[in-house]
Parts: sequence; structure tokens; C-alpha cells
Amino acid sequence: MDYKKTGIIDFSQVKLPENWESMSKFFPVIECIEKIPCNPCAYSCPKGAITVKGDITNTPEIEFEKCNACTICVGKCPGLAIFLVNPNYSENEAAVIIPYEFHPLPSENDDVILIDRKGNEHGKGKVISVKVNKAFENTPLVTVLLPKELAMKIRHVKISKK
Amino acid sequence: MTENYNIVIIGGGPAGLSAAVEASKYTDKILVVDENPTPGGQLSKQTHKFFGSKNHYASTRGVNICSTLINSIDKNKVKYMGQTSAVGFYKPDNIVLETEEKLISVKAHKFIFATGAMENMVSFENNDLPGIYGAGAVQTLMNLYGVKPADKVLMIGAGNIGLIVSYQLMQAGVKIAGVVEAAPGIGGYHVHAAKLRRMQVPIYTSHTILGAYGKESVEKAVICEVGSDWQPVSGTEKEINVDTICLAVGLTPSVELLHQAGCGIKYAKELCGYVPLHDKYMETTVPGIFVAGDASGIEEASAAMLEGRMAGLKAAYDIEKFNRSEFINEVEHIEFELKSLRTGPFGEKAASGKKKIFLEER
Repeated sequence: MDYKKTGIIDFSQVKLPENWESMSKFFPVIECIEKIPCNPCAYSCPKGAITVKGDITNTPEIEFEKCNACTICVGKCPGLAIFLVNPNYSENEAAVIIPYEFHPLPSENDDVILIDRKGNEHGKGKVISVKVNKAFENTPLVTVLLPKELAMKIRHVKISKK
Repeated sequence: MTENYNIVIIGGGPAGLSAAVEASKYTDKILVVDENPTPGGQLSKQTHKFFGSKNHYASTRGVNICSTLINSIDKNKVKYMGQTSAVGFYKPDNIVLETEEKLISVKAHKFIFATGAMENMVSFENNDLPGIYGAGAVQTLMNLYGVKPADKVLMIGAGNIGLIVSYQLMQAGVKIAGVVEAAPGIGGYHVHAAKLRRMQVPIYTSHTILGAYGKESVEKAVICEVGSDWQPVSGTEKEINVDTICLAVGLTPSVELLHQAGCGIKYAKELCGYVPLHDKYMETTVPGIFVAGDASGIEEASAAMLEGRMAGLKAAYDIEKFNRSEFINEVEHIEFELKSLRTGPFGEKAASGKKKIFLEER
């Protein structure tokens, strides 16, 4: 229950694919561990990879093998608690897709400051895509490249002042 | 001259609007009264995506839910009176409304009180200094009128409102110096707290505000730790420079008119105050008088919308006596959704409060 005090989850509670470290495709990391009344991730998933079983307050369950990394759940989640991670996007870099609801938006090729769940900064990463989709209620999705060891740490970015 | 309506709905927020939408499917001559110029209540200020299920407009931003509800109301059947307050109820069926120019008297077969809630205050030194706002006022300035309310804010209260308004302030370019919470744990959803934490906002649990200081308006706040006895721990004071202190320390149901109308009222801690006893149709101890939304106990807007639908449905059914099986189907559907919302650690509180004030069917 420490997250109740700090606002930071114990990441070991988050389900990851067994072989995630060797994977080289995007998969969802659902950082939603609390029983709250919410299920858009489940009903919006076109592949049926995410389910909320029984009461709407149950936490979502994910079947990674069904996911095709379409990003709909990332844009739909009202808690901005779903991220797509590709741990081996390139030889040296991982990629993380982050919901980012601030102006100004970063642009492609921008260097941005990488921030973890606690608000600590970890150097810079590069933005490779910024997508705004009306179907996601205009929650922009920012894809950022970062050092592989930070793939499960970085969950926010900040535009670095020029 | 007294105007006559089938249904008068007091309050045009999520509960009142939902009641109007539902009732207008079956009956007409419906009046919605609200003290604000435009309908929507708190919905119109919510720029974040809502929780809940698809049927409760989940993942849709509150402000967009508001326009969906307004657009689905048949204007030939529902009249909206803005900047109008309901100031008195006279038994058995007469309500007095105060518009900007005059007092008018209105009669109706059914009344639905969707009067919402009032924000709580918290006592600390100089809590009347300019620069101290309720979270609702900050949201009104920022999200309705497009006015940046502050440069740097200290938020008091880590319930969902405190967490969400902090996030919205940051979206508006306001710095949040921290969120102060007297309880040992964050009261709101973890996902809201997580957004603030990764945006470098400290959350001070087991802390309280001692005072606000400044020459003419807030220049700084002093906070300190509270012990397990809820008393300030001396020597832990901390000064925080801010120009605004925002209070999000809970809500109290607004039940004055229901009280005046003679509805049975009971205190339920889980529902945050005195609330009218009501049955599963949201009808109070006074037949023909319904309650819905925060006035029947503080919950999320999803529950308010469902309660509003239930009240609107039953009020319309009692007037029009339309197809009974259609009515029962709809009632069961709403009941099922409400029950599902009231599971889990957040919903269970409301569920146990509702049990205390539940009226068995007449």
C-alpha cells in the first residue's frame, strides 16, 4: 500500500511479457493496480487483448500475444496509465510511447528530458513521433527513444529549454 | 401567475441533465433550473477523460459529455432557466424561483432535486486572505472563462478533485508547489497521483496547512506534519512560497430545500453529510420528490448521471404510466450499473453509506 502514501507504484506488481527484455516490438505496460470503476482499455481494444472481468472495478488483464500495438488503449485510458514499450527498438535504444497532454507539444527530432515515475530526470531522449488523434479525445501520443536500461523507468518527458 | 410543469428539476449538472434526458423520452413540460448561465454544473469544467464504462461515457472528456447530454435533450419538451435559484419549497407542490429580475412560483407533479454539493472549508491562520480559492472556483476561472488563476499554487487535499485540478492547473501553465494531505494516504485514484508525481509535484501526506501569509494577498503558506493523533507536530513547519492556495478538502451535500420540503434526512459519514433517505428509484420519504447526484451523497459524476436517469425515469413513469416492462428493464439496467460502480475500495464507501439511508419500497 506504499503507493497510497507516495503516489509511486511498486513496479513489480505490473505484468510484463515473460521474455520482455529480448522482445523487439511494442507491448503495453498497464500501470493500473488499483480497483477503480473503469474499463475503456478493455472495450476499446480491437484485438480483445485487454479484459476487465466481472465488476468494472476489477483491474485489467492483458494477453500480450493478442496485442498488435495499435496504441488505442494508450490514448483511451483516462488515467494515462498505459504505455507502449519496445525494449529493443534499435541496437542501443528502447522506445516508449507516452500520453502527453501539454502545450507546447514536442516535435519530431526534439531532444526531451526523460523523467521517471518519481519525477527524477535521466538525461535526454529523442522524440521520433507525435500523434494527435480525435478518437483518443485528442490525447497526444509521443514516442521517445531512450537508453535501453531506462525502458521500464521513463514515463514522462519535458521539453528542454533552448 | 403560477406556471405548471410535469417535472421540475433543480440543478442542471450531471444528475439534473441526465434526469431531463431520460424523462423527456417519455413526457414533456419539464423545467430545468440552474443558478449558472449555462447548464452542465461541474461537468462543463472537466477537461479530463472520465472513468467508468462505455455506458457512462468513459474515456470522454467531461466537457464533451456535457454537450452530448445537452444536445440529446428535446428542447420542445424541456425548458432551461439559467441564473435562477430555487429559494423555497411550499408543500405540497410549489417551488419559488428567483431569477435575475423577479420571484416566480412554479407548480409541478414531480420534483427532482439535483442540487449538488458545497465545497468544505478548512481552518488555518489567515484563511480569508485573497489568493485562497476553492478548487471549484479555480476550475471555473480556468476552464470556463479562460483565466489563468495563479502562477504558483499549493493544493490542499489529495482526493480526486485536488489531484485532477492540480493536473489541469499544470496544463494551463501554472506551477504546483505541492499537494498537502492530512490523511496518511492519498485519497484519490493512484493514476491521478502518478501523473502529478512524474511531473515532479511532491505530495505531502500526513501534512496540514497552518497558515497563509502575505501583505495583501497570499505570498507563502506554512505547512507541517501531523501525527497519528491528527495534531500538528511542532518543529516540522515548512514555508512554501506560492501566490495561491487552493482548497479541495471535500464536499457536503446540499440538502436544504429537501429538508424544507419535509424529506426525511439522515447523517451518513460515508456520503459526507446529511442526505435524504431515498428508495431505489431515488424517491424520498415525500412522494413525488426525488433526489439525485451529490445531493444524495458525494460520489463521482458517473454515479450522479445514473441516479439522475433513475429519478427522471421513475418520475416520468409515474406521470405517463408507459409500458411497464420497458420501465422495469430500464430500472434493472441502471441498478446493475450503479451496483457495479459501487464495488472496489472507492465504491464500497458509497455503497455502505447508501445502505444506511435506503428506503424499502413503499
